[in-house]
Amino acid sequence: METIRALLGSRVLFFDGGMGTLLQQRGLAPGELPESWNLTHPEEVLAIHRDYLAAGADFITANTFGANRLKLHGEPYSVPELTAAGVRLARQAVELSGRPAFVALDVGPTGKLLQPMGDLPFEEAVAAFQETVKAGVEAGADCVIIETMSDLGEIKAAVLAAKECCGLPVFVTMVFDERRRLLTGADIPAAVAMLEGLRVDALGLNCGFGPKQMLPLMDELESCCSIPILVSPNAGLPVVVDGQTVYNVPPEEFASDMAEIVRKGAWMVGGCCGTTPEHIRAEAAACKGILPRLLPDNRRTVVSSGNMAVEIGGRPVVIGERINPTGKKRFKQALREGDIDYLLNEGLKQVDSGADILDVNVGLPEIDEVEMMRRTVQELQGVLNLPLQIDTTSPAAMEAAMRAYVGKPMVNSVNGKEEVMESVFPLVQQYGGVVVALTIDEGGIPEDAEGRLAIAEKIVRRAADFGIGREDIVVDALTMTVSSDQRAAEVTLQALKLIKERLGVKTVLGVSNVSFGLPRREVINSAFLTLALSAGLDAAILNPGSERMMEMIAAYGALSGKDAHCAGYIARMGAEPSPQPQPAGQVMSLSQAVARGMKAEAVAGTRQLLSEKAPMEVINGVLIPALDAVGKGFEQGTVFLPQLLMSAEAAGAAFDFLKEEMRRTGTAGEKKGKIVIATVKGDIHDIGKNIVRVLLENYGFDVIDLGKDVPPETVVETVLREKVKLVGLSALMTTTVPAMEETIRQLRAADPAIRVVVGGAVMTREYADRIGADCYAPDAMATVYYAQKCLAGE
Amino acid sequence: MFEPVSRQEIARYLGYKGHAPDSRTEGLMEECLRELEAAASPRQVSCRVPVRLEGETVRLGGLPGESRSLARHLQGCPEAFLFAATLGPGVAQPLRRYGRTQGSKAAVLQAASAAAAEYWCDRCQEELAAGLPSGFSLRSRFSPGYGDLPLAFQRPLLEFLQASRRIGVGLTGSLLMIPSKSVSAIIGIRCGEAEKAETCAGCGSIDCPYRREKKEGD
Repeated sequence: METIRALLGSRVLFFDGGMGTLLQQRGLAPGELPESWNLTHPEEVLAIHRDYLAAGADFITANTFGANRLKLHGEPYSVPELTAAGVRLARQAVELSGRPAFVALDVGPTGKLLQPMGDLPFEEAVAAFQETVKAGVEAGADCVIIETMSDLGEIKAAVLAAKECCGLPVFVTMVFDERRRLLTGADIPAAVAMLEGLRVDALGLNCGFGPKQMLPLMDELESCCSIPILVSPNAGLPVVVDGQTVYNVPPEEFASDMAEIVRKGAWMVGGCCGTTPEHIRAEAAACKGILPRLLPDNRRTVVSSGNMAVEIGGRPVVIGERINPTGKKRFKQALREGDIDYLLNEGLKQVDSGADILDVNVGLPEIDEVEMMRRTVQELQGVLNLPLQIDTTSPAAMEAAMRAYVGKPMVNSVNGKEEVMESVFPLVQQYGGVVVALTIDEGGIPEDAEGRLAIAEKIVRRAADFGIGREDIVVDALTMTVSSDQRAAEVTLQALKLIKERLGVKTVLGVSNVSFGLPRREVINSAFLTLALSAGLDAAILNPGSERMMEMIAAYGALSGKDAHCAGYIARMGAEPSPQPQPAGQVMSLSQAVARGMKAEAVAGTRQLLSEKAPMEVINGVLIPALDAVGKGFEQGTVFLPQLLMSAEAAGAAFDFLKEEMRRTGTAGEKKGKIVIATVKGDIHDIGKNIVRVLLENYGFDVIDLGKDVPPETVVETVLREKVKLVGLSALMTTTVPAMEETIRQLRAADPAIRVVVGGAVMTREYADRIGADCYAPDAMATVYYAQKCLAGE
Repeated sequence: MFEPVSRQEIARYLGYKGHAPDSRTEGLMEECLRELEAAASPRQVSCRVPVRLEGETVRLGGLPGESRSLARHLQGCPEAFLFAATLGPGVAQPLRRYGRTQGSKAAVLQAASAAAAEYWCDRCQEELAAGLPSGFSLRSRFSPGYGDLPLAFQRPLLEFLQASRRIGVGLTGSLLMIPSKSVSAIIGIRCGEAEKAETCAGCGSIDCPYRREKKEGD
């Protein structure tokens, strides 16, 4: 529908207003599905549309907000039926009016939360939205409006669904709260970055607030958004009158505030809850004469997560490089074992060290990189807020990660090879992203700065063919090893300067390669980093755990004036060093440290014991008895859950230290046997199961944690593959106990010798017996005791 | 806003059964309440409806429910508030994070957020009570899953309140509320002054691990 795109910005365009309240006035009962009226009371819906058209609306929003298969429960109508009927009614109203107005297919939220916060898989959300969009497009919609959204992940699913089903213009409006964030935490720059990356036609605000409260949000939008803005507020804030929620800003007041919103830059305006044809008539009268403002040019290099945006080009940005198996034995082992927790910890450590973006590379020949990448990205986004840099040479892994990613990712990387550009650029075009461009092509890495500039130029040009602007490209002029060629550093720096100057793109470098083969590499690395920063480097890929490098970055920010008021420097360097509570010369014994739950002291105590005992003696003679004593206390009601866990964590630190020691000295460790644990299908609360895991691990068991919402088949399959004899299942709700029963049934069928221990908030001994469990664990220690009993002597 | 949350309540959720927590656990509680403050975005929605009792069928506005316990709870209540509240989805992230990295803190955060959710509901309820005409008062919250009111009643209740659209609260296929720190309830509006606070004593689940220990001899 090119006419809509052509019309945008030529004059202010008007959407219609609220539908729900008007339907209620016409007899829709509370709790009744508004969309069902498309079939049962079409004349009422049609009449409302016609009122809005008569009031001056250019866009009629079809009555399809809730037509989504995830929302309809036991309704006698199908989604395609309700959607098609809704769009046809809007179409009919437009035709009857004789005005050149457009029909917008209305797409509202699913009412469910996406994984990992909720239980809705991303692709299921996409499929549900697709069903609605397909039906709407077939029935004759002119554009798609995705509205009242409050979760960036869900918005992405809806936008992808719309774009993958049709070429119609797509508009997205969202509900921000008084903290200027979406319900799931995204601020305005984060939302704008993702939506611009997804190439929607317009974005903006609806619901939540009245026009007055939206004015400051408009200012923030205008400061970061470069595409058309659409705003549909409620008729003021909700007021409760006689127990009912009403919106009571009258049409004239609403209209004059809307004129202010248009003057601030909105190109399209309408209304949401509580607005009526009278509001839209007044709004159109007040705004008609105002010329839409020119779109501001806010094209900056920005990546985002589901929560926050990071701009590349202000103060130097640190991209943490630690989630990468290259040269790391322990990391490779974690990848092979699917030990996501290890990866998450690597990520969280870098957050604490002050990284701005985290690089994610999980490439290992013997694993399924596509699935691992997708899962790692999703899990990382579940526990931390920084934007991620998707680092892979596999186009399939890159796409899987970019699709699952919430926000606008950094993508590492493209280069000057035609074949690579042809596989990477379409992904950036489809999903949005800032892509790292390496100055290498079919001819290799040019030895001089001009050669690298030429490749960068080619990449920028070719990107434009895919509609990718230079603000979405960050060039890496490649750091080479100075010990093999002493001109290497100089060439890189020259190329960096040249590329910035000539192409106006931002730059990035991996720093540490420069010192390869030299002693005390950090000295060289930090000096090179200083030179690169003063040559204009915008982002550095490095280990944020390196104090020296991070101090350098902080110092550069202060000296260059890019760190306003030296605030970042002071925050990093001005903090008091944390006090060491350890009195000199006194080491707490390992047993005491475990009893009190002190991690550092447990490690110190272990170190001391190792001077007289072998590691296995420490474990069996001191550590386990110490933990047992705490466990006894828990059973007797003198020690409570947090202390029990702190003790387990202290013991865990001691274990890790001992394991490292045994690895170093080549003594074989002793595992006490494998256990599979899982929270059953349908259940998404896993704290109880996690507590059991912590304890089991610290008692030396090898725990395979399948997570939450685990289908019975997965449990059975894992148990058979890993030859496990003991399974722990957790369920929180009476509604998920049947899933537990089914899991036990399938386990028994697969191998009658498998033992099953169950626990969870609703579990009782009677329940456990009835569903055929071998053991009922009323608390976390009970599972440990049962495991010791079952797996003894293995 | 969570500064006044009762530390005793948090300890109760952690299974302290009236014992005093040690100083490190107390420290964790304070840390968790501070982090909750940053992570939570409390919201609530309510709707006042007339109550009609026909035997075991309760009609709340247009919403029918079959429950003897609810009918008993609403005796003498001409009206009721349908109510839902949540701490918001932001609480899930730190819970997940500590679940992976520091189980002890995850456990305390879990308990602290449960106590904070109750605290938030109490504040909301006070506000609802303050808006009542004199001579009326509120009964305690009655949630689906209490007595014989099925958990499945959450679905029509939340739909009636448009809880998904208004405060972002939905249900999973297995009837868990998401975000997890959410509450849905029916609050009777009775004629007469407020009763003494109804606590665990009025509940039939006598073997509930969280039951406040106020029985004789305890």
